[in-house]
Amino acid sequence: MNDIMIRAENLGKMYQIGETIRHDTVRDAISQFFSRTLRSGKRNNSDTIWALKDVSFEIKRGEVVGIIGRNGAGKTTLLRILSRITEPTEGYAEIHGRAGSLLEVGTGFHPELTGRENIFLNGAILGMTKREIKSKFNEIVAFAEIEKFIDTPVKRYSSGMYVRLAFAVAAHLEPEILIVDEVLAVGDTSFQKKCLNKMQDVGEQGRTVLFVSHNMPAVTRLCQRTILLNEGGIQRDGPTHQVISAYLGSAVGTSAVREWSDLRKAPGNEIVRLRAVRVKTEDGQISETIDIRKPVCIQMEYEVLEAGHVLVPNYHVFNDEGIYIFITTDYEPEWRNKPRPVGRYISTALIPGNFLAEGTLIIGAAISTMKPVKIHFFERDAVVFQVIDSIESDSVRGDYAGTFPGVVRPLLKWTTQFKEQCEKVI
Amino acid sequence: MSIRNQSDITIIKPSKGWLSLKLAELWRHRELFYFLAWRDIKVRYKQTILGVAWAVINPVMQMAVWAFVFGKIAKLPSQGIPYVLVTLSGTLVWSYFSEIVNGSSGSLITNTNLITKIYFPRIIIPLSIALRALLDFAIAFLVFMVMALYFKVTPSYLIFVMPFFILTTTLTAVGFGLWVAAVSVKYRDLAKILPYFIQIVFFLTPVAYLNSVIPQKYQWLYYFNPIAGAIEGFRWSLLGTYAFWPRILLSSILALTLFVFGVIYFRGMEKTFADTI
Repeated sequence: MNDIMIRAENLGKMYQIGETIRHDTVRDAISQFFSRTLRSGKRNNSDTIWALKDVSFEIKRGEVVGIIGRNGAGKTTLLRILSRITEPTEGYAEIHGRAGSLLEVGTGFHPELTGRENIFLNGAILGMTKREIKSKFNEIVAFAEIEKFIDTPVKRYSSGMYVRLAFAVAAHLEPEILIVDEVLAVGDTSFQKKCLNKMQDVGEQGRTVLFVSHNMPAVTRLCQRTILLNEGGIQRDGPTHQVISAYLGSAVGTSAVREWSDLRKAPGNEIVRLRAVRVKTEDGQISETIDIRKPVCIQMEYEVLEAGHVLVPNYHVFNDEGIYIFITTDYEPEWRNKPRPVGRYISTALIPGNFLAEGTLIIGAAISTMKPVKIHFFERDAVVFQVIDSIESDSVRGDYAGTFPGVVRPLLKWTTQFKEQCEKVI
Repeated sequence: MSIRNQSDITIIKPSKGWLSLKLAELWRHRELFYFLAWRDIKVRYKQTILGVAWAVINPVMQMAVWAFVFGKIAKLPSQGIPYVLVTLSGTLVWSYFSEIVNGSSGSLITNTNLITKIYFPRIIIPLSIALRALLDFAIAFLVFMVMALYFKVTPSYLIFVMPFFILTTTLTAVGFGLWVAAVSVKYRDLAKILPYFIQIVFFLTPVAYLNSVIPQKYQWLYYFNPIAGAIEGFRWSLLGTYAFWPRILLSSILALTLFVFGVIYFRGMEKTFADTI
């Protein structure tokens, strides 16, 4: 049995841009034909755009693959080609097995029809047979939690109910290959977790999933492998955490390690120069992703070139929205107020687990002297790493899978007192 | 989610030339075809008091209007048949035809969300319109039978030939409708011109009169109007009016040609719908 479920070879899709209607007259059409032929078949590059170009990959049975990239990178085009909604301009792809694609929740829902009617209609549109829908009908209704409104036209539904019903239908389709576009962006948060879990079930049953999303935490949770698209081509393809940090790193031009081999070009001055900044896990591994529950070590390596100065290393921590989360400085007594001899130093700050919020963190590294105040260097955006929240219910978010705002996410000690008798109110 | 293939491998590549008709795939999606027709029927009568009764009221009203105008005012001959039956039989076929063509013309555009999000043979959309129209026809046909019995015009065994003329009407309407639907995706102008075109064809077709009314020297025009042939044959099979066979034969061939042309054109354009719509 061939284990490859999807194989794509040099897929490309070209779109005409600018005016969509050409050849307004027969004369135009003829003259354009000749001018094109004379240019030996070369297409005029100015009015065409390759939304996708030379995309090749293989996806094996049971793999859950994320597809990420900026807007316009070609994610949707790729999905549309694999879903056969649109044809590639060149290249070739083959899909082994029954494939279902979910590019939108509730495609074909009709507002005038009741929930019951829409389940059948939507199911048929998604490719289920009437018998399949009938056998899963109760399950779908229960999953969507709309039992009471099943015979109400969906135009009277709240948007939450609508999305729940729509996702419930889609979630009960059982293809061997599932192609999903950003569908988790909708719906209320408690329902999101249900959907994420349902997606995870899909992966664990040996089904192959292709998942396009901007939601990096969701991609990290669901996918072992991720393909990063950029300007229509594959920029990276590999383990999710590596690809995601490459992607997020490329956004600011940094990653979890930054090293300066040429001392003259390194940040700093004649007193001290930075050699490296690294993000490490507690066991000393350089890592671009950190489990939210685990501590993270930020390490800076620097060379003191002139003896006799008191130096205070410090880090500046920002999130991906540019919010200044905190500054931390080295006030450990070891080197506090002590002039340093010439030599190489490594200073490490330990940020505890269950403290940072999930998402991208950008670290600025600096060394200053306090009396008088002098900044020897301040390397903004020195390193970047990801904090990933699990859904194993033992982080701060507990059983809540939705958006969890806040710039930090400390796990605090809570106490609750229980008094058996309520005091009587007179 | 659309389930694409029950068989093992789906090949995705740029298609060259005209596609095959992919009948097996069409067969797999037959339920969607019923469901789309069912949706349209359900939705059409939501929030109406009379509901499905409208399927009866529409042809009866048309029949009454045309019978009054052509039978009572213009006093056109009817070969001894009650004029209402002449107009009703014509209206039945005509409504069926025009409902398919009009319905098809905008059908792809109104279903844009399906076309850009889900794969299925696009031809199902206009075909489901034909199914819906056929249902309306069936209801109206029952009305016709009741009227015929009321006027004591009992159809002969020829009534069993009647479905043939419904077939030629279907071929004409679907063929033309497919072409209109496919062209309208890119050039919306067509949908704007269509009502005028349909209106002209209405008067060129013996819907509210018998074609014997038309002077002999213009009769040849009907050779090129497949709907005229279908109506002529339809009346012949039900009311026993005069029918000129060479004309019916030619119009049937025309109907088939239109259908084949429509299907091929639609299949050829189909792959571009999601990009141009």
